[in-house]
Amino acid sequence: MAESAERGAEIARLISLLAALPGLGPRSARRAVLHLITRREESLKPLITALTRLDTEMRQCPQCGAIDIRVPCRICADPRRSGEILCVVEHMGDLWALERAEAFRGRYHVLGGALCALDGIGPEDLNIASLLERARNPELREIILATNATVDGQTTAHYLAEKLSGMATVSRLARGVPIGSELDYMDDGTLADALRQRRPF
Amino acid sequence: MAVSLSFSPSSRPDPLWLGRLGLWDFRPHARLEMRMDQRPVILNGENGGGKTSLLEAISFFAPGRGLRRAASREAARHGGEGGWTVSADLHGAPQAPSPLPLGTALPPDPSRRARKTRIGGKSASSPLAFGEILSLLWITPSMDRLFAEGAKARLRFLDRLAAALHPDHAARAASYERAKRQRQRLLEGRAPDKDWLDALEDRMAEEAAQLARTRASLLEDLTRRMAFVRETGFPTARFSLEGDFEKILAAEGGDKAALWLKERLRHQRRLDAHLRRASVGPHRARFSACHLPSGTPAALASSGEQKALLLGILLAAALLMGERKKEAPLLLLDEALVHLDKERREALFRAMITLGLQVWMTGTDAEPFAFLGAKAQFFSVAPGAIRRVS
Ligand SMILES: [Zn+2]
Repeated sequence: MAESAERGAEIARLISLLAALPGLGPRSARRAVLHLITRREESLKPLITALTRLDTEMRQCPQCGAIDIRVPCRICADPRRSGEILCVVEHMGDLWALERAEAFRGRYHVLGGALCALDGIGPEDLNIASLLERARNPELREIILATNATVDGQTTAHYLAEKLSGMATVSRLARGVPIGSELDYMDDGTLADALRQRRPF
Repeated sequence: MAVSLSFSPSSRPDPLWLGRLGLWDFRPHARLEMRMDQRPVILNGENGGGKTSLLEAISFFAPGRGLRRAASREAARHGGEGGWTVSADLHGAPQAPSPLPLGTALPPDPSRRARKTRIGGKSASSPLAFGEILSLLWITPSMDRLFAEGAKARLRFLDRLAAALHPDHAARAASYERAKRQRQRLLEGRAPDKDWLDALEDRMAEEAAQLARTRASLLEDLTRRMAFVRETGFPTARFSLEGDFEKILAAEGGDKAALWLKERLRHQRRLDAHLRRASVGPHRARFSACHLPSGTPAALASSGEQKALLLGILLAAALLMGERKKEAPLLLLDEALVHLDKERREALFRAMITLGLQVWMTGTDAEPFAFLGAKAQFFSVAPGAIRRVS
């Protein structure tokens, strides 16, 4: 009796962990856990393997700040990608959104967030020093600032444009990106257009 | 007495109205559900019974703090789980299915401060999305002395009107405010980063010109509708919006004004750090009104005349919205009859009916609303309980 109550508590804990993830609620978490415990071989074990691998091998790419299990990351290591153009984004989700849109063939720089004095996030908390380092590379021609159209994203873009002036051509995504929007929420077509119609900062 | 005005809006827009309102754990109401038609809604009952809370619940179908200016968390019922939900069916929204289900909810988890927003069964990113769907205007007893005190509250009232007409005004005002607060935070900290300050001041300047322009054009539009206000029997007003930034904007245009503001902000950093506020910008504008029938500043008019002036502005705004957005707004009037004599009350009722608005009004007794008769629907409200009276 005590043992089954203990097991119940473990399952409840898993449900609450899943329910706390973005996009999931208690109901979908319960369904996911039910699925995992009834399909141990096809679902539970591969998930454990994938999570363990992610946990032990996940690294931040020293060049661009992206998260990958390779160092340097898949994109930095890809010789077909242009080293002449760099796209600066806030988060991995923004990088994924741009990759989904298949409109960009250069490399990325992931800041890890945006400047926000209210949350105490300053320049030293973001991957800005490594960006300035990369900007010194003479091969680099253009830097696209693709931070979000929020106050913090735009403030960060302005800050970076100031720091990067004289180093490379600095551009930003075309307007048409709605105010307050985050790249990850935009459809691929809109994002590709915003990228194509980018303007000098 | 006939319930009509000689004035009739040229093409009367479809009124916006709520057909259903549901509350969960909101203020004194554990669970409450009511159904309405499109006539004005009169809520009567004892004080503390939760009449104003119903208006507040509706006011959360707009971005920001609601009609009590309370944080979302404060609206949670004592003894509840800490969260709340408000849902409604909206009729008459242009280019939307009717009825359109709306929902806004605060999760019980105290670490979550943002309200959830649902429109037409789909999640929206923030309550700003409500601004695209419906226009809400309100007045409360705390605004009775609006013209006599609190320049900030007056500006907030003006911005609320502007946001109801121009949905991006609210987002712009929020962006400006956020940049301003961050600048202040940096200024009051140790060794502020100059480039970061530049970037924030640039954000402020960029939003400022459009903010001030939208306010100014709203006041012009309202001024042009004073003939209608006179016809309703409410006092007409002349408005002014003054400030250093507004002066430059009017004289030199938006681009020059933005540059000017950036320069001023840069030069006043030390002063602003000391004052603990930004000493220049559209947030410092002084909005005031002159009570035209007496020719005196609104601040010097009697309480009754100030209230009437406010209601007149609201009626003009409702008319304007009907013309511009092809939708009559929802009006929430909390204890609005208090300072009005019988003549003014009837003038208000006639104007509401002429404009075809679903106005939500509260009052302890039903008697002062008797003039409306079958032109309105009456409810009696107590905590967690609502009863249709007629
Ligand atoms: Zn990389």
